[in-house]
Amino acid sequence: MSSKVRFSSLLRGSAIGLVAAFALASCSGPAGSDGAKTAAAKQVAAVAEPASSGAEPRLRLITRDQYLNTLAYVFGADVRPDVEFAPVERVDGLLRLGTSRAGVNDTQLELYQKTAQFVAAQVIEPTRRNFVITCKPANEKAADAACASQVLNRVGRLMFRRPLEKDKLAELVSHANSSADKLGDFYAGLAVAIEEVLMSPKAMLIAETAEPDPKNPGHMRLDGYSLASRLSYFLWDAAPDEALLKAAETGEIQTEKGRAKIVDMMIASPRLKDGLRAFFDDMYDFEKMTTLAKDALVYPAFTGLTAEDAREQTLRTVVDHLITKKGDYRDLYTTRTTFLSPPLAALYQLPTTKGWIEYQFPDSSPRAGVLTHISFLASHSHPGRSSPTLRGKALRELLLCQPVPRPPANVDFSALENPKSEHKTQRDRVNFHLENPVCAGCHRITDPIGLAMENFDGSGRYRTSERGATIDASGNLDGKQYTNVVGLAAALHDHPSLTSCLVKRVYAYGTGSQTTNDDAEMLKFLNARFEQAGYRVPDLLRTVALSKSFSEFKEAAPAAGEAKTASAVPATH
Amino acid sequence: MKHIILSTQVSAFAVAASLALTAGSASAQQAAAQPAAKEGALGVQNRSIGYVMVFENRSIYQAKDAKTQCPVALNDGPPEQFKKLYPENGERTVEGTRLAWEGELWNPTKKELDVPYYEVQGKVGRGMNLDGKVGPNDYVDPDTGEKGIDNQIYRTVGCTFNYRDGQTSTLTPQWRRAAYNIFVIELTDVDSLQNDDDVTVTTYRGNDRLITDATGNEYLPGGSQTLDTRWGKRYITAFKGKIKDGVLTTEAKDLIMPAASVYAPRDGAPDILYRDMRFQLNLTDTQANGYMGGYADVWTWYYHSHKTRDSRHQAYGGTAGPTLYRALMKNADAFPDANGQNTAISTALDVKFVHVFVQHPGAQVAGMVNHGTQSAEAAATEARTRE
Repeated sequence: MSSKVRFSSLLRGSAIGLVAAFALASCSGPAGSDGAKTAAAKQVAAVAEPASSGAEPRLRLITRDQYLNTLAYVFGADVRPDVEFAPVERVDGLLRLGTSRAGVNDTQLELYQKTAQFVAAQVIEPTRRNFVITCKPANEKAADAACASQVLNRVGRLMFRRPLEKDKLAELVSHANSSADKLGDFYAGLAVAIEEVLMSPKAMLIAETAEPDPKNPGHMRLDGYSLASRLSYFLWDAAPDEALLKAAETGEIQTEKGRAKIVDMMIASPRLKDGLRAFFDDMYDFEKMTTLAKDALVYPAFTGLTAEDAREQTLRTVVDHLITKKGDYRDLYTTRTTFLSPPLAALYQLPTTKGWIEYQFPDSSPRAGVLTHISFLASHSHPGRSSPTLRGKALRELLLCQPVPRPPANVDFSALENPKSEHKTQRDRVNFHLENPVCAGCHRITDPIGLAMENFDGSGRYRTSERGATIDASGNLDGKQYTNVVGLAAALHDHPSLTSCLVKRVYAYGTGSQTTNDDAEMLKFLNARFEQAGYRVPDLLRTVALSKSFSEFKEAAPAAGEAKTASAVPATH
Repeated sequence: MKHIILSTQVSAFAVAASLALTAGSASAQQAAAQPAAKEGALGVQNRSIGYVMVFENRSIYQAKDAKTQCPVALNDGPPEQFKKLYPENGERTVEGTRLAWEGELWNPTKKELDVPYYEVQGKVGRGMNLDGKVGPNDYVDPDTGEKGIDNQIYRTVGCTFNYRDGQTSTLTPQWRRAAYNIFVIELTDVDSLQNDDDVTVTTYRGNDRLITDATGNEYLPGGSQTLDTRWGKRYITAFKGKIKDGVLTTEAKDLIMPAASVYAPRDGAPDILYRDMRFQLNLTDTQANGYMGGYADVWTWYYHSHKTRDSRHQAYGGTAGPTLYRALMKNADAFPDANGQNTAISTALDVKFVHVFVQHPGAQVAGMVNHGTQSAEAAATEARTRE
């Protein structure tokens, strides 16, 4: 029998009973919050979104960063295991959507257990235990049910993102007690139970549950804890904290004022940086940076450190521009302000100093915006040469949400890869594509864009010539002409699909659902609000987080006493 | 009481240092942003250019056949010499064997030792003509035919395994790679790297890690080095020089090379003092390769040699301190003391530098936005800050 476990199978186990029970438990009614700010209330009132089918509950596999961010909140930032989780499939431009199509096999379970064991051992270390273990056992060499219960109740609540059932808590305490007695050590026994919590399906799988919407008959809504989780993973890339769980427990999160207050608090929090970094890391397809390598003979200055810092450079630029400076999203593609580290500066061949510095390229520089970052240029190139096609394709797909068809299986690369080719520049070589009608269809939509980035080699270093020939970086983006990459950046800045693509990605990322034609009106509404807000991304996040479609969906209510539970989407591969 | 006074001094020193750092930080933040540098411009900028040392090795000429240089043998190491000096016959005491050896190692005497020590034979050797003369002990360069090469260290250690086949170059460069003993030169008043009658070469200790290429074995031009002008003052020396046909030559001056050893934390840093050191480097926008030549102070050179290599290195490298010291003193050829004993010995280093952007403390990086620096650690801490 295959050891691969489908999500649906997991749910048929204990998880389904648990989430159903919590769905019912959360219907205790909202506790009114009169502390919400007037401004926030006005903004909530201003939201007038169209009717939509909404986003159904999902079951998702937790990502590595979500897990680590949660551990940092629960146990402290220094408890950070060096671990990589299994990759998931990219769906409609986002790994986040792939987390609801993933499976869990025995290798992953071993990894989860190893990680949990490491963390539990860290937590009970004498230097750390006072942070998490807030009670003292009567005898450190024996079980102490009261103290174990106190600790496990808190840890379980934060890791499961909802209160523990009494039976589950009793089971965990029992395991802690029996282990403590066998090992003659209260803390060692407690570590066994903490490990159990950390690798539980309730921790590793994010299962959203829904309930009938009392204010909107015929509609369903996420229950309070599921809404808290959805908001938290959307904005912070971590499990909900105590404040969110409290709001879910009291029902405050289900009120307009209460939800607005919570969302505003989350957006004002420094943790928003984690959430924004996670989103752009996903949207920019930076996962590939972890394994990006270049031919050391062709690009000796490009090292593993360069790739790591190139990713960090762009993410720092994103956070600085969008959160710190509250900048226009479109300007992210034209800004000359960025960040430099020593390994990056060596590739740029610019002076710097220790650590990271904020850096301003001069107006005469060919660097302007994310397109000219090493992260984009190097990750969309070949190991030993640049690629106008890959760069153009990436711009279309990642930034404009315009899928480019795959090349035919019988494509002939010989003219491109011939080292003795008479064609000196990439422009000469890719023109071959345009002479071949089989290739031209797709290459016309990628190459003219990518050629504008030819002043940067495959490692992202600036150049003015290739094999002795001056590089021509002119081209056009959907009819807008330019002479170099700075012109391309300006054209991209003004391209209508740039902002609508972001809206689409943000909405899908937040709800965990691939957008469909049914979402057209909703996306139109979000685009309008984004434009009204001057393309400020925190405002877009707020609009999405407060929208009805973020937490409600239209579906026949289940029979009385029956809760709607997330269902797994069958893996298609 | 003495302890209390010391504590007070330390405390006051710490406060002063803290204030100095604070003042420096504020100053840096208030500095007007300088225009960004042009990307990829590694040559002379603002009439200056910096280089950082990435390779050094003693200039030891090795003939194809070692027997022409060392016809008898290579030198014995400590185990072999120990056996010969203190043979296992008769009554042996700790004082008369082990302690005697340690005494000769760290406080060598003039007593003759009844063990052989082999020096290089022949007239061929590499290095620089330091005194401008052609003397009876000088060498002839095997490549250029230049006469008058002064390199008595080559004579002294050329038949010792530790100094052959680049063995001696293995440790210090490794430390330099790890932001340790970084040696930077900055050329100022430069009009051209081809010909310039008057340039200044200033040496510094750098503070930053060297940047390696994708193989990890080569160093890249285009890195940056922040100069240590506070704790590394002793390494700062300015040389007047000139450039002719792309070759830099400088006047001779005493120079302390940063060569601190991780093996000698309690004894202080055994830097090497070179008397009348000078540079002869072929310059390009990205590299500076050639010689540094001068007279190594015998004691610091000897002490450094034994403090930066532990007994196992000396054992398998055939380097026995007592005989080495005697040979160094015998061949020393400059800076006599009051008794006429020369205290320094001619030597040359094969050196390679790569271009580096030099950052003077307090000066803002060109193009840096005025918020100052933020370390990766600080950023990570900030990223994990929780409400």
